[in-house]
Amino acid sequence: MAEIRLDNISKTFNGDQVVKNISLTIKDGSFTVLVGPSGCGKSTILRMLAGFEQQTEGDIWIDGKRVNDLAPSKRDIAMVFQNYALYPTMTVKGNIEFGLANRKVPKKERNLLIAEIAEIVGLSDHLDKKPDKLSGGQRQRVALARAMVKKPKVFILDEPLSNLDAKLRTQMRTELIQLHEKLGTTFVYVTHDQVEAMSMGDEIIILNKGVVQQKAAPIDVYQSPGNLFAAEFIGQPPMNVFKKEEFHELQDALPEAAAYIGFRPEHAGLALESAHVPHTIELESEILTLETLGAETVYKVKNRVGTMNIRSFTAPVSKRGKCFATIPMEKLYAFGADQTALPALDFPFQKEAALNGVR
Amino acid sequence: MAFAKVQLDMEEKKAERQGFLSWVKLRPYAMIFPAIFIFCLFFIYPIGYMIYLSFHDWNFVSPVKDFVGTSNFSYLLSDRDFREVISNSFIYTFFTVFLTISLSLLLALWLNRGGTVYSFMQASIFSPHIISLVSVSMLWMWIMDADYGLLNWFLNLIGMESVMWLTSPEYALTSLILVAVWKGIGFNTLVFIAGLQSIPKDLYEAAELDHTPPWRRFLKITVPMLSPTLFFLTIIGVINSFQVFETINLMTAGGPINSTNTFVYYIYQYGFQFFKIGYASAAGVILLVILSVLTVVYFKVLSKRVHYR
Repeated sequence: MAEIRLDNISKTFNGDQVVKNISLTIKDGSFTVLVGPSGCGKSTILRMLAGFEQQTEGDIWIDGKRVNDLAPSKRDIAMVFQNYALYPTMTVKGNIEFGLANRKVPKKERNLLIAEIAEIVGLSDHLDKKPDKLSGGQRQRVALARAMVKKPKVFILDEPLSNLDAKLRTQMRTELIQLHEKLGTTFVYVTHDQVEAMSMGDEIIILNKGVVQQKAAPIDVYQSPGNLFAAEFIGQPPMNVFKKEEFHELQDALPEAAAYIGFRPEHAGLALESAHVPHTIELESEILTLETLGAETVYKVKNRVGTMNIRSFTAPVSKRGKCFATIPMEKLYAFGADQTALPALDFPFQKEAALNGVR
Repeated sequence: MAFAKVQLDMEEKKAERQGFLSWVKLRPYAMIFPAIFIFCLFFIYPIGYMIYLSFHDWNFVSPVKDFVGTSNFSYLLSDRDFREVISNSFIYTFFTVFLTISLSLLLALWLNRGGTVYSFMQASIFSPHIISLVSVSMLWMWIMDADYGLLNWFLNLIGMESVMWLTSPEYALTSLILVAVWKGIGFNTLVFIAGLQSIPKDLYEAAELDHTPPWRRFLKITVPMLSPTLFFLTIIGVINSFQVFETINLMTAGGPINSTNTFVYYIYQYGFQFFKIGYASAAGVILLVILSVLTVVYFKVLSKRVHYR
């Protein structure tokens, strides 16, 4: 149980600043996900938190204690590594026990703890096996058990699911969420997968090029992205973004500061015939490709504005060719020239609707 | 009609293929024949001939090889010199292998990092490995010379008495072990460094988070992860040490008073100085048996503890 605070943290490798002056607070007991493309500095932050890298500048506080000069072992954290880093020469039991034995926990207590943890992660039948006899999912559990048995203040997980197949990943995702609820410990989780970030975290920190882009709850990141990067990083497929000039029919309604206009693929619609719905932008388009995913269909269409993705949950348009894309105006997002999000757009018709009691 | 003819053709071909000396069947044997032939000619045949000679009395030139049964062996086993040779060989092998491996492991742990100084040290330590054993022997004969040698000069400088490195029965074997360790340490260190570098870094990071004290980290992670390297170097070291010849031939000639006589030198003496080929062959057979037994034991006992990735 601990709150983590980073104060103006920077990290420079050979003159290359990979983490730039980051300050953030990770709440006690939260499941915080650091997410971003590769090279964004998320793993470096994690390793500085664990103490494997020394920050070039700034302070790290764990549970109200400054840990800058504290060795990793003294920080009371446990880490699950990307490739698990299990001791290959030891059995599952040996792996879980190693840290306890190092801290001279009495044998009796050790055995109780191991039995308890093994029960939780479902490894009771595999305690005497070596890691190379286990499946990917089981190894993952051993890594978790090894981390849990130490009862740390903070759990650090470095892309722990990236070596698993898709089905197992979904399963382990649920298990990790449940585990976090059961333990109530602070979890810091690093991933490049926005789906993992959205589904697991109760707070997401989006990073790019060593800078925090946005820090918010998953739904807030989705509904009101802080800037263009966050908007384009979260969402599957990402938000469609165009220069303001492309939407000439809106010029008068848009604020002066707006430079980019975006909308989410799932908010747009697709029809074979023009419907002239009020307060929507209708674009005559051509379907380039379509991905049928069962419950939904993702279309890539081309029109005078450019190429855009449209995600539709209705029955798929069977033939490729001409169609009409419709974008509701109230679902548009505006971004300034510096790519930061502007306040929600305010169209006159929305005011009218509000006055009339329609939402 | 045409169809029937095709079928007929196919059957003919099949019959041809099934012929006793078909090329398809013979090809693998033909391909492997040169290797097998050379192996038999230069390995199997000499070993067989050595075993054959060990039951005979022969002086290299005589056209007659007298069959003497097992008397070569019984004479060998009752010879006090030969028993000394066996004990010398075991002492030499044990200390050479033990010292080389432990020292090079320590050096590897120390030198396994980046930087110009460490690369230079690695190269320096490796350099004895590329010097021929004859040169090494000459070099150390000079260093260990009782009157003018560098070692004794140094000992005198720090106020200690001269040591008869190569000319006293107490020290001669130790001196040879010293030379062998000096020569072998570079290669072993290099192999250990390669082994150390193949251990994943995150294992050590995980160990760090597990509060592992340094000695426990060494015993529980480094050594088990290095076990294939350790196993390989031990076997190679034992086999090489049992077959030591050049340094003994040049530096001590088995003396003084048989104190540095080992297997291969003993065989050489009886074979090529005393021309007792049968007797030398019998000693060779015993060496072969000892090395085979040691290797089998290593594989049986140690390989269970070796972790291969």
